[in-house]
Amino acid sequence: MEPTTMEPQPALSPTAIQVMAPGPVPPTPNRAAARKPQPLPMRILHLVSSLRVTVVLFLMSMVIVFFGTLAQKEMSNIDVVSKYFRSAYVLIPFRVLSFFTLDPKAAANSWVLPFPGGWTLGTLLLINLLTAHALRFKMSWKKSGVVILHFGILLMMLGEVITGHYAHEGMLVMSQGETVNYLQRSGELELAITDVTDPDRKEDDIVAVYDSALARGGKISDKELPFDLNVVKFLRNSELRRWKEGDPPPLADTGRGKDISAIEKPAVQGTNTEKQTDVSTIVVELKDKATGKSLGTRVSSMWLDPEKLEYQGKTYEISLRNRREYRPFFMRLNKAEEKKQPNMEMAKDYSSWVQLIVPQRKEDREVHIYMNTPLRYGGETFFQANMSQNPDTGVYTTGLQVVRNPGWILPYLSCILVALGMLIHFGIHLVGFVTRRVA
Amino acid sequence: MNAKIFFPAFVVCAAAIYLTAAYLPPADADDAMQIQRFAAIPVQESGRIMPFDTFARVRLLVLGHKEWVADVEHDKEDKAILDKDGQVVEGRPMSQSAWALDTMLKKEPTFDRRFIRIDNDQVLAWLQLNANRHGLRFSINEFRDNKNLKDEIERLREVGSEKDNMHDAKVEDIMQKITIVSRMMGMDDPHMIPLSAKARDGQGIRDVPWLSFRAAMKEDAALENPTADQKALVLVRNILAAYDAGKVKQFNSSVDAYRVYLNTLDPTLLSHTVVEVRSNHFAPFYQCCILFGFVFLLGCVSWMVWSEPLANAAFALGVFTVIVYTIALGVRIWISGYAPVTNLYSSAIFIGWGAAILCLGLERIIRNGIGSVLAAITAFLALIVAINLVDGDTMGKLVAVLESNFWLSTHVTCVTFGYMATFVAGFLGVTYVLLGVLTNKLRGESGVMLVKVTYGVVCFATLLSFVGTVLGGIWADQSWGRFWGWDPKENGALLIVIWNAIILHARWGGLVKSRGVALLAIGGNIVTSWSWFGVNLLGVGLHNYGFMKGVFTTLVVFAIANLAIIAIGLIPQRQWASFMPQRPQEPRRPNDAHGSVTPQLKPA
Repeated sequence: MEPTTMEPQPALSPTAIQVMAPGPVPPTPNRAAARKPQPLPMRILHLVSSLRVTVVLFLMSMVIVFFGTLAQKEMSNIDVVSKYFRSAYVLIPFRVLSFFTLDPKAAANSWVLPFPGGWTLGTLLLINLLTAHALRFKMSWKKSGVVILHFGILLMMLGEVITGHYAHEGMLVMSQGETVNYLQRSGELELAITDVTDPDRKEDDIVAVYDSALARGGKISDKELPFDLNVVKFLRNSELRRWKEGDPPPLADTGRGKDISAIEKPAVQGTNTEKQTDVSTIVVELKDKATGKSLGTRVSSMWLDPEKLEYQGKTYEISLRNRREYRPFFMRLNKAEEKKQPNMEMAKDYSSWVQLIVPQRKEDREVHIYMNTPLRYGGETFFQANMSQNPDTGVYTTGLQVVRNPGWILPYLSCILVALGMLIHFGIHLVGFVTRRVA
Repeated sequence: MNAKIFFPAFVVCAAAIYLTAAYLPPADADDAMQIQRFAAIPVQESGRIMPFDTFARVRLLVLGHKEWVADVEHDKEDKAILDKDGQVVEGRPMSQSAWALDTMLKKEPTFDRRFIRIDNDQVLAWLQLNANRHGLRFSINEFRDNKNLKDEIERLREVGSEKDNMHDAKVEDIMQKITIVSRMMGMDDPHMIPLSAKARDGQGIRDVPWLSFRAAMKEDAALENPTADQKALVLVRNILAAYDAGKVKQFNSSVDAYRVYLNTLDPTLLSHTVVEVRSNHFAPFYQCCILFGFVFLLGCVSWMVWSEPLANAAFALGVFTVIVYTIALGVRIWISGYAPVTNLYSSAIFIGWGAAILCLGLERIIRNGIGSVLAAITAFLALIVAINLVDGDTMGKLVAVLESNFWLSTHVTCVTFGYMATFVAGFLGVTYVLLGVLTNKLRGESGVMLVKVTYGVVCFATLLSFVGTVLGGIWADQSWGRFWGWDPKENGALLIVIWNAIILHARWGGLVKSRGVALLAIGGNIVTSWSWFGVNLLGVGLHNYGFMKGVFTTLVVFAIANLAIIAIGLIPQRQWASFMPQRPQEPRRPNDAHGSVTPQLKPA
């Protein structure tokens, strides 16, 4: 019962069959089985587990991978991953299907092709693989390679599921001498309102409004704050400039927003090679909680420093920034170094010497993080990601990519298993081939 | 003596003699300047130490898209001799190093040599230059007083060039070329003076930024503690002065003195550059191209006449060429200090090498000349691709995250071999279709064997591309904590893996038979070329537009050609010359009678 027979079949031509198979060609067991009347569920199961379905699913995977690549021409990589690959279905715009040759005003711009997304195709392939093994595979030495390699593929898919659901990424950015105890979530925002009334405070009192709430707009209320917020305008990617006569009206009517106008920019694309990121700007209206009276509109932007405001005897700082996640340890950048290739602008290596301070554990030591050599600490891994130098002061700022991925080991295992499986499987085939040739 | 052995031996000997002749360096006459000895003087470019010769060639490539330049006929006073139309008379190609020296020292003929390529019809008309000139290369004298150009350069300096404006881009291109030349004339290029031991402060001589001649001279006057190696500076100054004054003896003795001094600094400097100069001159990959051309001819002719001696000769010459290829590859690795694949150029070189070896290996199995011919075709095409990709130094340094020989030699090598095997499977598929439709060579065992081999290569390709791709993911996980990011290049590699998996599963499921495997394998050519080059096109606008446009056209043509062959392969097999039902009494098949057209499988 091995429909996945390894022997190459003779060519279609009558001549070839004459040469290769002098006797009658034995019917493949699969077809023999199919001829017997079978209960409907079994028939469906056989169909579901068939190699025909595998091939179709593979082809559909290629389609989604291909268009998921093209789509990155005008959409950020993160958006494409969530829309195409980590999704149940995707509506592929006709623009992508037509290789972007459409006129921007053409009616076809609104056409879409619904297509199963990465999660759906992955699940179907998984069902196909599992049913195939349950129904068709008999354990034998000859099949051991296939079993091992399919198990490896299973682990890889599992790894991608775990990464998709549980992996966590952020950036830890610090300048020389600066001590930091939080990560910044790239691509996620928060509007933070910090009570800075007491200059000697030990800890900050922060109210943070996250991304989704900002994009949704409308009224935002928190019991810690004496005022409510109302999102007037939210620009995902923006450029600011000083307002001058003839420009559209300035962004806000209170604070420094009076002198600033903003230009909305398209979101950064996935194929962008200049490592640009979105720089967002928001305009909020503050309203007194008790009376509902407007306290004016204010602008906050990632281009600008936090803005201070006084209300009811307290001082607040309001800033739009990457969402922060606090950690129970501190890091301080002692020294940073950027090595260049001789006589070139090209970097050869980035190095950061970081003081790791964990108050609860009285830990206080220096660690060296550089290219291809990350620090692993507390279930997270800290990679040297980027570095910049202030041209005026010469002070370095280092960016460490921080990743927690509970499934990180799976691809390693999977790689070994699949490679081993293929070697065994193809090896058996090769040995058979050579033996027959010698015989 | 037996022709089966004698003829191949003769062919290999002839090839060896040809290569030896090509390898011998052009000797400078004893009483002339020893430019070839000067050519090995080390300079620092693209972050590495290279011979002056490579520097000159790279400059010529950037300026004129060609590695050599013709000298112009000139009289004793270095004035160019003009023909009756007032044009300079071009002579033989000259030494690249001499060209660079002439340019640095602003010697008269260099302004008349044609080494600057301007390749846009409208720009040429606007500059009143001859748009019909072969190679479209022009001399500085031909446009340096052009008022249009001067005004336009002023304008661009003031307002900057506009994006997507072809005219601006071309003027910008000319400006860049003028800058390159004037940097050389100002002695700001190349960086040819090493740092003194004190200034190096314990760092290796290769790892610190060398100085240009001008910078070193200026420093000499200004500083009390100069960073340049003063002895080297004096020796180089002597060389340049002697060359400028045309003093042969002084030039030769200065070059020798500097070479002796360099050896006291670090003997590996010259030992590397001397080999590189030799290799530049020999152009081993170009020679391999020629030899593979002969392998192809021998293999093809062997199917018509004198089959066994010719087929053996094709195989022997193929093996000989691969040995030369391997040595050349080894020399590249030795000089650059990197694993074999570091950029698109070297990936093409590596693919050609792997494909040649794989196909010659297959020839040992199928033994009908197809393997040799395929080795020649695949390696030849890969080398042509590589030669067309050269747009500067091909052994330049890499950005920080790629500076890891461990991953370069595992992931990159493996993935490139995966591309290679997929291409070989694709070309085996093409062979199956073309030979099957047009000839009767695939009758019987041959056709079956060809498909078996294709299938085996697909298995091999699946293994390599899968392992290579996953290793890439592991590298990414090691360097920035993300195993898989669905970025365009990763997706491209994934497409190859899935495509190979489709071939295998379709085969195992009985959805396709021999012909299906062959046709799907041809499809692999398209998928692989997309992954290799296509994904780079997504960033159009950020890359050199002209270069990428050429790639795009080539890619489309290649894809269409493969689709056409697949379409031919869809002709019912009854119509194929190899699979037509045989009539029992064929009137006359002279070749078959000799058993030479359809080489039979021989027991090993």
